[in-house]
Amino acid sequence: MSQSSSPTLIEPSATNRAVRVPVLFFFASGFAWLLVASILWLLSVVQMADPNGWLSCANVPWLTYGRVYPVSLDLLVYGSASLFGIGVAIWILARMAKTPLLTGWLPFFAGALWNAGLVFGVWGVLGGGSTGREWLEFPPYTAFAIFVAQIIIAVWAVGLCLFRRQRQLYVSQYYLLGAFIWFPWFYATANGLLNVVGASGVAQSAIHWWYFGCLFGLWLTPLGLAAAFYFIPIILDRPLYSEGLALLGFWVLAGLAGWTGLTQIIGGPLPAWMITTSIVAKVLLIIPIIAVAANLHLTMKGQFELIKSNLALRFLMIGAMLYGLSGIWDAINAFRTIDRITQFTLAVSARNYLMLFGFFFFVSFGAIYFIVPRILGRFWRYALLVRWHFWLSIAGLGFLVFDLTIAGVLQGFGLMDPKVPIPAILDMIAPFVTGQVVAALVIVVANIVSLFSMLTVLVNPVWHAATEKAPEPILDLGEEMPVA
Amino acid sequence: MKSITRLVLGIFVLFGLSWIGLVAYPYMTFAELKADRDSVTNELTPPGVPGVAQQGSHVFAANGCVYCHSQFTRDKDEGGDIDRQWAKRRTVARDYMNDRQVFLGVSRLGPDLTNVGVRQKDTQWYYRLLYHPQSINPTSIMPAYRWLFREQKIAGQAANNALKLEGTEKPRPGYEIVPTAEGESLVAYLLSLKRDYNLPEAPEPKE
Repeated sequence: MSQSSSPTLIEPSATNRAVRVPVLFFFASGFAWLLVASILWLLSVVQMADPNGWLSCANVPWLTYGRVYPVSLDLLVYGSASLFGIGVAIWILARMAKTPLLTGWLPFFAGALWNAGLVFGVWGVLGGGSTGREWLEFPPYTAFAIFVAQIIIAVWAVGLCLFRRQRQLYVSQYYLLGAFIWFPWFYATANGLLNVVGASGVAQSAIHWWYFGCLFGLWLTPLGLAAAFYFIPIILDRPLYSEGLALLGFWVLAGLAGWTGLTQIIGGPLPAWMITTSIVAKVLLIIPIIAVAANLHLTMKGQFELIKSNLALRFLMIGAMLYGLSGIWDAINAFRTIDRITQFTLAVSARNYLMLFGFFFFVSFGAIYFIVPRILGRFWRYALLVRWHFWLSIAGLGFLVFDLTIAGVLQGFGLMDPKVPIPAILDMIAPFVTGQVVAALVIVVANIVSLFSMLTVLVNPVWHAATEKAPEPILDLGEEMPVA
Repeated sequence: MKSITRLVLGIFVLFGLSWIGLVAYPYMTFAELKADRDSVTNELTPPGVPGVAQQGSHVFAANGCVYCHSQFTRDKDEGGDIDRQWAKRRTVARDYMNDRQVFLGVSRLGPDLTNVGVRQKDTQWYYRLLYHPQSINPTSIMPAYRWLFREQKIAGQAANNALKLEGTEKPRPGYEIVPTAEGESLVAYLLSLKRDYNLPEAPEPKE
């Protein structure tokens, strides 16, 4: 478990060396976008609280709320979350295939293309070329660059699974193959039909919100779960409790998640069966959540105290719990009686932030804190920074979700009552909109701390296991393969 | 499972079902919607959308109006939309059949815009709102969209669409503030948002 019992693990192995460049490139660009997204997000939150302040930038069109806010969310999803997720996925897939990686330049090239797409996407939206569709604002030409990058990564991932030496496929490979095949499919469908070909009327809305369900349910979710199912057993040094249970969760997710998106527009101008199907699918998604929660809980059984000492495990486990929480939230919120109140309110953002900043970023950071020392052969310099990152993230996220939920419910009841005029509703939620600035600030500081702790790794010298004594352990190490 | 073929097949088929149901099916069926003819006025419902309004929908998109304004109303028992008199009936698929871009929206920090062209027909009101929202409503949290306007020298008579501004907002003497082409098309788009006709599939709910 600790370095002293298996000291050679910290030395970069052959696989680690082979994937070092693409994985680090994805992590580094993910951190860069995280910084940009955080600052823009904070700016948009301040602008919302103080629409006439000097930060509202009324005379600088490209820095106004209507452009900064979508760019910040897009960068969080397509910039840092996706790039972190892909970096982690490359490491897992290369590791699980147990085959020498000869084409590390391929994902690297895809990463470069993806980043170019993001740069032009930001340029396009801030410059006034937004498509105005939530989560799909990037103009079609930048979406095309990102699509090509997705295809390259998908081909690479499938190839790596085809030429694997380990015959048995592990559940993480399931999730990752699914994610890499689904994402280019629904990304191309949505961008092509909405922004290039032009679907007619509310077909746009059906496709648009179908896409949203896919983006969270069939891209971010499987990427995050693949990491949780891979790293938690490794760190615990014991096999996953049940692969069958994990596969059940996978197939239910694969069959249902694509149907869930239309819960965003309940009561909208679409055939009733579409929206009802979405509600049913969203409620049934409780099944994979229970499967994941039970599986990880039983895998952890008796070792929960490790969460205190092992920071990577802590991030992963809390992230997995937040997946459950956001899913239960979603299921409850999908019921028409509840949705009627929370629809159109800040509670919608609360849920998205819980999924993104909670589940996905926690799991990704856990994986990153595990991978980076191994890939560089350097330890984390300051465990304290990692701890601060964790507690600031938890505090910021908790406050943000609490704050926006209360605001959303107040706003929702206000909107239900025709006697309450809109300005009165805004007055009612004003303190919460200000509270959101504080929460966002804490999260942004947490993100900057994570970036800083990442940079301090580079200061530490490479540790030569053969000649030097192990330094004080910060993160526990375990076996490399989770399969028993 | 050991077979990657079966895995990939499963991935395709399971996801493909939602693609057929929520993409391919609506893509084909909603393209075939036909306008209705009102039995009293003998006019087509929904009416066509003028070209300048279609251009304005791009300005609406580019400046992120959708992050605070929705464009659909729910049935009477599904929310307060009809009680709030944003609409007389719920919106249905046919209401949007002529819109090149549909923005249903998921946020209502501002009022719903489904029928904003019915509620407010004064072009000048929209210009003042976009130029200085708080001059319309002092507690509004709507940001100003100043770049949709420009200052120009008054050539002879004041322009028809020049803003009537008061106090400190007043331009320097001899100059006037007029909307740009983008600003004009955005207002044309907002004025075109009128779903006040009848459709047989969406009767007005009884009190």
